[in-house]
Amino acid sequence: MPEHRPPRWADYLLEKFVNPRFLEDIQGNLEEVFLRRVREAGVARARREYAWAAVRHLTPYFTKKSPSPYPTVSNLSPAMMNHYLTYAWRHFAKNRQFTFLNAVGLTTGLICTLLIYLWVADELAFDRFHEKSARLYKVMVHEKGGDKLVTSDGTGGILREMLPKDMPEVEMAVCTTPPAWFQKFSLSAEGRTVSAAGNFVSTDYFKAFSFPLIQGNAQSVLTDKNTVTISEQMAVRLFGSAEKATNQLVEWKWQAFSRKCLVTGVFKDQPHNSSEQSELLIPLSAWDELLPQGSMPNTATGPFRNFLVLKPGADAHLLEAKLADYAKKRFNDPNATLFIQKYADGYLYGQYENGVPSGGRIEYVRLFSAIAVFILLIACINFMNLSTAKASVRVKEVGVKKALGAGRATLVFQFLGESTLMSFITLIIALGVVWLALPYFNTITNKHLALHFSGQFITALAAILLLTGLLAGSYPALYLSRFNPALTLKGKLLHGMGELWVRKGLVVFQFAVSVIFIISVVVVYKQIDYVQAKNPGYEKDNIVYFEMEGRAATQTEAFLARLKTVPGVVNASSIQQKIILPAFLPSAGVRWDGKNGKDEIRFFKMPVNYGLTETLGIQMVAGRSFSKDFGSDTAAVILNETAIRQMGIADPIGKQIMVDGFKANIVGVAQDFHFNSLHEAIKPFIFKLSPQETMLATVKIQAGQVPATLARIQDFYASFNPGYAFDYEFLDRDYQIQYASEQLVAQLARYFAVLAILISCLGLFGLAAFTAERRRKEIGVRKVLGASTGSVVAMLSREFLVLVAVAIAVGCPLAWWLTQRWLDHFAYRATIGAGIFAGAALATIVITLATISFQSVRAALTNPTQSLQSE
Amino acid sequence: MKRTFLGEFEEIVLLVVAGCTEEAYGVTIWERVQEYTGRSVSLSAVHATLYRLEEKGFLTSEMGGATAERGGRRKRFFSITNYGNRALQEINEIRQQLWQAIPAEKLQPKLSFS
Repeated sequence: MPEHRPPRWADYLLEKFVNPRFLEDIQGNLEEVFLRRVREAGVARARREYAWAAVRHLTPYFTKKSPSPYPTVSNLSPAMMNHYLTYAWRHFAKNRQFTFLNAVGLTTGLICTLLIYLWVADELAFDRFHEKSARLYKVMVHEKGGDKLVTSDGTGGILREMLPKDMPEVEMAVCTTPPAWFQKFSLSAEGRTVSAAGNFVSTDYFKAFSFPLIQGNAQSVLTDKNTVTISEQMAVRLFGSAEKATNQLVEWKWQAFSRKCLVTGVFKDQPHNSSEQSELLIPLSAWDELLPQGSMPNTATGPFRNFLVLKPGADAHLLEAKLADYAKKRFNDPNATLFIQKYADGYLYGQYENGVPSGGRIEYVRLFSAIAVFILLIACINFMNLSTAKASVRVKEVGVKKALGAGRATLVFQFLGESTLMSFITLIIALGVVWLALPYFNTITNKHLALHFSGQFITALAAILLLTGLLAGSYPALYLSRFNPALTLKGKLLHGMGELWVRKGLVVFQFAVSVIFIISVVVVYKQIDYVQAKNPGYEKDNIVYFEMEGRAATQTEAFLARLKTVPGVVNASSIQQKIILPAFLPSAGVRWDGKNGKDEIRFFKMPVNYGLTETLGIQMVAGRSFSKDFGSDTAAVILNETAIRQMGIADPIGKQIMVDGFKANIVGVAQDFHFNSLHEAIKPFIFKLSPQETMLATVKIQAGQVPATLARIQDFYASFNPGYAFDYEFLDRDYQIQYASEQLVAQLARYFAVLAILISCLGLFGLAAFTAERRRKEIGVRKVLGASTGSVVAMLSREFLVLVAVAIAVGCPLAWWLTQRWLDHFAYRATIGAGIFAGAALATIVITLATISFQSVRAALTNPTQSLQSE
Repeated sequence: MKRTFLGEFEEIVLLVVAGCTEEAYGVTIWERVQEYTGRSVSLSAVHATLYRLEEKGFLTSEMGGATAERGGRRKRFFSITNYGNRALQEINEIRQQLWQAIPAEKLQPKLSFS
């Protein structure tokens, strides 16, 4: 009888799926039955039955896997977590110095990171709280100014009416006067006079911007020119509360203008993170009455600011494309190109260079973000270096664990858990320190930051925590878990070249960053010193200016004459705007010898009064200043040197030029002075004698008598001009404001540089301690053989000095490149010599030596009998 | 019934194993079950029940020696445990009690005079 076999595929299925525990028995029974059925019913039938019976065994009951007799524990199970924590704690407690260095380094790094995070988050949120933020745009304009495009937000007031009509995308347009025009308003009610930052705004202001109204509603306030809307703070100061202020009469005064108005609205004080900072909002229709439309030309460009709210879903790109030739088509102005910028972006991306966006404040945001990342990185590197250095102590632990069956994943978890635990603890400490330090930080940065545990902040904290933990723990985790247990337990240490290189590389990185910090801080300070020390060409100290209002505005001559007689006043004059011009455009309309017909050269024009150049101490290099001794001075101008140079006039004095269509005589040439900040090169400038156009009284006060004289001026002002508040500004303060962001960078960079160096030194200190410890026996032997203390110290220091030297070599060129980029923002720069780099290198070496000498000297002084006695 | 819950088929299989005089393994048990009940039962059902009864502790099993007719595969011999015995007895007692509780006349076949 031939041997009959059951179907192979059925057996295959059984062997593949059925649990091996049952398999032998089931297959045996099936085959036994099969063989019998072959005899009883034939092969074919028996095979069919076998297959069917086999298939019926493919139920979950037979196929399910039996549980392993050696259960594995998940790396994340509570028991393992407990284990990790216990080991971490023991490790921290056993190595106090190591733990302390790590904790201090990480805490410091986290403090920097958190502070910078708060600052950056605040900067990024600036102007972004408006409900219609996504649709809110500012109308901007590129104008030809000389050979370049000059970008500004100064546009014509007529655009408010035209754009919604011409552009279907526009839902509404809001027009305001530029706040820079108004140093302040005097606001009086119920016999009280206070000064308020004010502005004229068109009707839809509160509909476009989200400034909540406490009294009144957005539809009706700002409609009637005989009404005003004031801030809550203003309402409280004048009337006691917002409720009491409603429908009260107030009188606002600005220069020679004043109006009695009804308060119809009170708005919540505008938040600190808003560009709009007004306490008094007056309907724009009132402005139209002060300066009737006829006097303001209907042009695309102009002094006003226009804001647009687009319709939901409208295409901003399409609108921008249509705006590009709008000025040419509608206003016949080929020199201006209108465009729109997202209102929320205006704060951070406000700068344009020749018509192309060139960043702005966002550069500082990026700079500080980078600083935060680098400082945290330095702190993490400390952790990595110290952990891997400590590896020789922990290899035994790793070896035993591996021998007992710990997988690599378990060990990676353990070390990552340790670093995460460390970063968690340090994060808590850092939060505490940040909370304490915030008031000081706010003073430095001029912000109102606070720790709010919002969802966003907690997410950021979690991200920082995980990032720090993983970054700091990654290298030790991967490195330590790699050890071969058989070798480590035999006492063989693995110190491959790779490990050494990584550690050295990390130290070099740390110190390179520190060197960059040192050099950058020194360069920033040098530049700021330069700015402070540089003579701007006028006297900025002891100069006070204030707006002339009421009688002072209408009777300027008499006012100034009497002002000069106030004791302590050296000189007094008046000018249209303050001499420091942050946002002022050069204007067209200057012609000479039939040249400049297309305004290739544009001039800054400033109407002034007699005696202004004397008051400000601006020197004349040729000719004379304005003087009443010459009757013809009503048509006199003074130009600066740059203007004369660019105009190419050989003998300027007495020459006649055309200014705005009127003939004017050049009576003098003023020495170049910095009316812009040192970021800008000096441009052509014209002083025009026009007392009736001046608005600001400018007073030079005798040095050392400023407070007393100011009090006297205030008394005089009150008697000459009752009912007006006396508010003054110092010119040198404005001078400083031009460099506010540089000052901020300088101050913050200084703190962060010190911290970065501190953290790096902590790491180096730990490494030096570790090296000295590991070479104890070697040092002992050397000393026994006659090495001097000095030679041992030199031997220990050399290793680190080489690393620091490499760091300096890497850091200097990078620092040079970075600082040059920053200095490019200035047209006038301090000279940055090689001395700075040499100084920084020397400082770094001295710091390094000081850090490691403690350890190396201690090691060198150890009596060899102590280090060699055991063994 | 306390812990010793047994399904009907489980009870039959258990009784068959208990009743076997020679060593009981899969095929013999399967044949006996079919013989006693007169039903057609699949081998897989018997296997599943046997293993389940072993898991529950009513049966125990051990592997026998290698055999020629099964492709050299060993047989798994099942025998009843003490716990299995007690369970069967308990079931029997309960059944007995229930039987005795039935009134005698109810067990008489009913006569019909229609």
